[in-house]
Amino acid sequence: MPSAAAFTVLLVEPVDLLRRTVSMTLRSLGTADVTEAPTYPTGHQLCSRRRFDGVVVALDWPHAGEDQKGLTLIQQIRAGDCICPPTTPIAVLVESCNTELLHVLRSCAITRILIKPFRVRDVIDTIDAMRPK
Amino acid sequence: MPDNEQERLALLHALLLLDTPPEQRLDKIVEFASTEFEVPICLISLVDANRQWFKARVGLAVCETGRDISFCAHALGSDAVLVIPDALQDPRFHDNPLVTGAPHIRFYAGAPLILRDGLAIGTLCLIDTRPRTLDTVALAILRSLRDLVVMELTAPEGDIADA
Repeated sequence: MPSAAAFTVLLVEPVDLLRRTVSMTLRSLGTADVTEAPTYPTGHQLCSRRRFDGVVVALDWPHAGEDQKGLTLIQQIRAGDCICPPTTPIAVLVESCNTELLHVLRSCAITRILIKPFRVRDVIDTIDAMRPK
Repeated sequence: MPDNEQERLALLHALLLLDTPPEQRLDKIVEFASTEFEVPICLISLVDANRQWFKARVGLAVCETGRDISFCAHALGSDAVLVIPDALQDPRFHDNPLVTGAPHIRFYAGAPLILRDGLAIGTLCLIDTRPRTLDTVALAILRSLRDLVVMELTAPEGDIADA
């Protein structure tokens, strides 16, 4: 395995239990150093200040319209408006995925789409797969 | 019995957790773990002097059992996760009434809830009615969930598992 310290991930996810379990487990395994963002504003702030080697963004949020902010974050990364390189691998977590959303995600070169119900294990495997082999 | 049994029980009793009502923050964790590991039973078990009492539980109707038949009591002597892949093949448990009768335990994994001074008050445990194992990643996930339980138990005003 590559050095864990070298691989940094931003996890934008509102569900504390999922976000913290993923973060703590990856840290304990030495797979990745995860920075947690429980809200989009926090995710935006972090992306504008720090470079990440991978990003995981939940697109389902309690408040209507929040998913658009997630897509905006992804599009900003792809447009080079963040510290992260535009080619940064990005995975998304979604409740469901219709043709329209799939088209949008493909246009954003999303690395992986995880559709609920997924497990912590699935998120961990997704992040592990982002790392250069 | 763990060497520090008296200190362990004193801490458990001082926490004022035994025989208290269910709490959503802890119920969420056992529900989450039950789904994550696809097990029918998941418990936060607190091991008292003569019983184990379940602060949070999924898949089990009773709220306590005797300590003499408790799997979790065996997990208190170490900081490692106790994994019993198949209780019928384990000389410690093959004739345990929880194995030979309901809930017919075959698989058990208990992560000790270790608080201050290395004192373990109970476990976060997974139980299945079929033999199975946990790999390195699964064990790490269980330990993370255990750590979240410990955080909740030691910081009752916190709101760690909010969703």
